[in-house]
Amino acid sequence: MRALHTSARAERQADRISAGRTASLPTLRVASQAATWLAGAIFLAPFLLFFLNTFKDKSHIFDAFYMPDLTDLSNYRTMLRNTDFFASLSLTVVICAVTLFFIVLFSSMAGYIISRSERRWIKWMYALFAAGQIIPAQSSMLPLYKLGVATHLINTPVFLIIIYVAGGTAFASLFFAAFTRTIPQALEESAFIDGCGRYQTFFRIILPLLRPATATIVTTTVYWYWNDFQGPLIYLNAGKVAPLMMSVYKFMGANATVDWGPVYALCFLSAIPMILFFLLTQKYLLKGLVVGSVKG
Amino acid sequence: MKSGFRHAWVELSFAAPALILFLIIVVWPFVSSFYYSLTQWDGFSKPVFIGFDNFVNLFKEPGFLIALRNTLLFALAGLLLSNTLSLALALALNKAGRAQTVLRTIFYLPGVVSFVTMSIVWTMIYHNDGALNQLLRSIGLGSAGREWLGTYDSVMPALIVIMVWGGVGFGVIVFLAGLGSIPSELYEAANLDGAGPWSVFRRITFPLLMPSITVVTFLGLTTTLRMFDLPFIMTNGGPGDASNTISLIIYKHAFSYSNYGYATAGGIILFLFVCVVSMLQLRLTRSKEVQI
Repeated sequence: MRALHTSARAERQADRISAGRTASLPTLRVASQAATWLAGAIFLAPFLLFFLNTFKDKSHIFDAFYMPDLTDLSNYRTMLRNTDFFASLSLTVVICAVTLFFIVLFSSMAGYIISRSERRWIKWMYALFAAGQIIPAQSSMLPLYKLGVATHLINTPVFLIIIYVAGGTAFASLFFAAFTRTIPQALEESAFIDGCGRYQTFFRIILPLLRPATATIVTTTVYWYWNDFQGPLIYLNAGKVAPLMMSVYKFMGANATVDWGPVYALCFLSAIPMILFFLLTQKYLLKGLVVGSVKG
Repeated sequence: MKSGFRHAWVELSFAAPALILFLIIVVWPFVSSFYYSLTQWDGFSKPVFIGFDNFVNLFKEPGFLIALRNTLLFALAGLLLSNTLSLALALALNKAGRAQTVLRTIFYLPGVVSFVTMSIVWTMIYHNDGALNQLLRSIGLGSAGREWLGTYDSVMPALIVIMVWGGVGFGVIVFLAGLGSIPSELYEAANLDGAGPWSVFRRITFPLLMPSITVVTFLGLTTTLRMFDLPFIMTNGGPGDASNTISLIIYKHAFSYSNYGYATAGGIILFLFVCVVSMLQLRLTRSKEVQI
């Protein structure tokens, strides 16, 4: 929490500095402003093209300067006829929701113990979680794949969720531990005196106080699970329904040389939920990234 | 009752779900990879121990060396181009109230779409009849146009542009936060001493921004060294091996050729590679960090 206050104060300071320096360097400032707006336009251009391409017909799909008829939804209709869009969408939503639920539950518990216990094995666990962050997915891909085959969980969403939760929990535990340290222990002690057990204390008193940390974890990491392609490619390649990114990839493989329009329509509808989510929750995401990087 | 718990099993029960999952799904597969990397193994029959043959053969495979070079190139480009651009944009935005909010959002936006989406959007831009060549033609540079992803010289720069487009926003946000935490007294003092903008940047802004630079380069490196999705979807490592990466080679050996032991050895090399590069980077940037 202290970090948040510091950054708010810092923002005000930055405003004051800029006010002071603006006067001395007006031309430089105008030039750099113009350059950043130009950069912004260049960054947005692919998104504009992305959107317009979902309406273009076969003969104009490559023409970047062609203005399509925005009321012509035939690409969307073709796409909906030929894919299981809504099944994929539901599967992706369920995967993200279940994954994040368990990550928050398990890592808030682990983070609580990490921040409160003095035992040596807990310190070791913390170090292990931190070190695990550096392991690339490819390094343990095949033994994990074998594990999936041996347990018959391969190509089920359950296996993918377990993999996400295992990796995500380690990362989030570090974050929750740092956050829990800022909660005064006096709160728990008085609950203890009132006769609450450890579990009751945690679920009644600590967990509700962790809400800001939970918001940060959800708003910064949901993109990993929604957008993940490598996970489904390896562990959920032959399921009944494909998660969204996998279904985009498969639909592209089946269609691209023939007709790009419907592929763009599917891709657009798959990307738009995260774009909207970002625009609505960016306040929390920004806070999270800032606090995380200051502490990191 | 200080911070101690009376019973160890209470603590264990809180840590157990996270710890058990981590041990089974992350630690054990990783540790057993070291054994499998020393075997010949097709995924079905019993692995046969062959010592370091996989590693020796990997370094004899010309494609692997190219993939190693490409992976390093992605990492270096991310390091130099993305960081410099992020820093320049953050410095410009730092003095811009409302514009900062809007532009920050725009620069981060590519970061919330998947590599699959980026691939599909940019495949069309780089296509022979696509936006980039059209743009070149319209300004009279049509002869510079080409099939960007199908040409040896241009495929890596083309992929690097996408990588930078997708990654710059994260740096902008972290650097803006870093810039905001530099005390204004330092700038005021520098102003009084008559320091020019360049020496203010070099002596105040840059050194005090070093912790943010450490974070951004560390996360950037661990991402770019694992580069898989973009080349897999857009070029499948081609033309030839021109855009192959270590991750891609590992995937191909495992799932196209069922060469599991060999692929696992590649995974170990990738891990060591990520370790060494990150350690070097942390040592280098941490040593430059200063305390106020």
